[in-house]
Amino acid sequence: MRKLLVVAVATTCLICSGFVFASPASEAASVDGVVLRYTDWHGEHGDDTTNAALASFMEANPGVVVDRSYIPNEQYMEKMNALLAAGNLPDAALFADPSTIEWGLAGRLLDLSDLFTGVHEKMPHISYITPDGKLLAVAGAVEIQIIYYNRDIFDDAGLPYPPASAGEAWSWDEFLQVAKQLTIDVNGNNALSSDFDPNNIDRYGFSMPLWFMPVMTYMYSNEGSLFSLDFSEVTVGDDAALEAVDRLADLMHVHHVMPKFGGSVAYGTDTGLLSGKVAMAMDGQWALENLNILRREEGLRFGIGVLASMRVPVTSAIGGPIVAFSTTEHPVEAKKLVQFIMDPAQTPSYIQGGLWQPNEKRYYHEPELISWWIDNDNHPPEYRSAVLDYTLTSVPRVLPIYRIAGFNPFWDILNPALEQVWLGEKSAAEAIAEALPELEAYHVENIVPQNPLSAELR
Amino acid sequence: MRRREAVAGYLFVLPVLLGFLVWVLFPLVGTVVVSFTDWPLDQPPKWVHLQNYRSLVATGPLFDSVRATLYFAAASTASRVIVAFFVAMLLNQEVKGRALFRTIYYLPSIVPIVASSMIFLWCFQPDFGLFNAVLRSLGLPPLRWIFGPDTVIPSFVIMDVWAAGPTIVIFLAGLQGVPRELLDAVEVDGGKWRHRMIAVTLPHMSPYILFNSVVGLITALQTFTQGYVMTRGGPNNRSLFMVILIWREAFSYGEFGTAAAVAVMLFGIIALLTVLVFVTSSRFVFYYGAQR
Repeated sequence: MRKLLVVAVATTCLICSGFVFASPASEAASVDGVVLRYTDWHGEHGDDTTNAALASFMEANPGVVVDRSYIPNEQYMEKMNALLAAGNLPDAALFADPSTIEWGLAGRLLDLSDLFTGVHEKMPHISYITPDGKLLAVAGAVEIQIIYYNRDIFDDAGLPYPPASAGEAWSWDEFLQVAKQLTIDVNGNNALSSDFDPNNIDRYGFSMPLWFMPVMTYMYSNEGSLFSLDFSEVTVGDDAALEAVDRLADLMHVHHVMPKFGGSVAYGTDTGLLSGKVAMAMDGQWALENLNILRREEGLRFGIGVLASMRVPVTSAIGGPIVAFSTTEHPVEAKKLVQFIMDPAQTPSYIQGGLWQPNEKRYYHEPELISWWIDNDNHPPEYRSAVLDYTLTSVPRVLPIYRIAGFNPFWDILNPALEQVWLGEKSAAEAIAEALPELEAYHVENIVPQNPLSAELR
Repeated sequence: MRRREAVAGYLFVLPVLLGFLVWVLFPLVGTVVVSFTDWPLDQPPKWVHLQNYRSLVATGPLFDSVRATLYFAAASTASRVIVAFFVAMLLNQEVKGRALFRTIYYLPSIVPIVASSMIFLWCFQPDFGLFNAVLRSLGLPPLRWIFGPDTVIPSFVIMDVWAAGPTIVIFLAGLQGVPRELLDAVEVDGGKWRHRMIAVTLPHMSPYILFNSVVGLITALQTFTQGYVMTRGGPNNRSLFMVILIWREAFSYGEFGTAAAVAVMLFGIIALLTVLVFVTSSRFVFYYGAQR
């Protein structure tokens, strides 16, 4: 009996001790001075790069220790919200784009307006600014949408490569013509042939993912948008936006040059181009890093071009913001850390390896810095005009996530309507007309109009 | 002595009781309370009465979500139980390599769901995927699988049945307990396979069928990973399971009150269906040797 009692007490104590000892978050070893906590999702791509940057920061700032935590991208906001609820947010972090303005308006982020001045002036494309003009964050990188293509496929077809400068961008019809020539069925007929079998396609001329950035890019190209420039109106029901959506859906259902809805989920830019199942793929600049790995390891010959133009030859830019939280006990050091890690010179392998475009203006204008960035094997010769110049000349406006809160719910109302168009079930006009009342109601209740100049870049 | 035994007994149940209070009851009650609040997490929650429920019912994809969840739960539970039962019957036969077959059927269930989701994502790919390649080779038209609004749930059901190993194991264990003498008696009386099945096997297996149905139903109603990893609730919200909606409201929008309201609704649905199954179970479940 006594033994039983001992076992019972011991088990209970063990369980209870679990509660007691499991509760406090593990802290960095205590040091004399300041400990800053920093989180990011760069585990897969850049452990070494981020760690090196943080080590340099600590070396330059004696007495400050940075405790870095990696959180997988898929669970990032889940974890951030848990830390927020626990009152345990880090001091600074790489953050999730669509939530930035919302968190800033809720007073959870420090105003960084005084941080990036002089030579460290950042690109306006990726600056998160509230309606009252506070700079909440700047993305660690600028990332524009471009076309990657498999050079071998173009060479075999005897076709010229896609244009690499905005001034020479294909018109939509020119693009369709090339995409059709490169789309081949299992019998070897291309999509221009009368014998072409659209149900048995072996290679597609083009592919693109259908998330908000690429879709909005083509809306801009067709002189449409989700919102008016001052965000006071929902304009996705306007003719220009509808036509852009229909044109993208037609790539799948009328012209048969793009994998049907879902196709690009499994066939990304890298696998599609490497396997030769896709000739051209629209993707972000960030894909360059993976394609370079395939170039080195698998011999993939790829090139870069600008997007085809529906009406105007434009692209758009995005990037993950780096923020400092207002709950930090060390605001000066936290802002210093953000400033440091946002300096392109501190993350050379991200930039020279092709994952990032620099976020600072001078890297787009000063020859020496441009050379530091793009004169290497990871950046093909056409990169300068197809990416660097294209970024400067052809991003007409910022994406809504850089100005407004509540973009995620808005997109989640719109996206099921768009999916009906991607599936070929409805025209854009039909599908979006059904979603428009809910979109407008959400907009009226949640989206704050802004100065029309705030979103414009050109 | 009696008193000391009682104390020991209470101490033994204390860990479970504490666990239940801290990890089950407290979050459960907390979720219900939060569902009546607007709670931005870093500020005190604000009591909003039924506002979260009202806004869920008035706008948003709640009904799509409930429909997807119930459709998947019904289809996957029924398919899983039926297929697993017949596979267990086959694996219960005296055949050469029986242990190997049993292992093979169980293996898929030890593959992590995220990993199997990625594999199936490739298999379901409409243009170059394995399943459509098979259909084409048979001269059949390709399907859109998880990318079609009408085929997304059936596709998830296929995935679910593929990983029915644990259900098969429970049925196998049950089949060992079907009295041999009753099966022999039916055979001696000239009964065929179907007579043995209807008169002996099915009645004796009915408690196992009930157990697998209830567990399958509860698990299916809480499905998240496939829809999250493979379709993000699409296309057109057709796989927007309620747990994905909870996740989206909480972690994508930061609307914890609304997320809690969906969670309370899901709890209600699960409780209602479970009670319904148990209440009606006496009509079709037979307990061998039990007092009637």
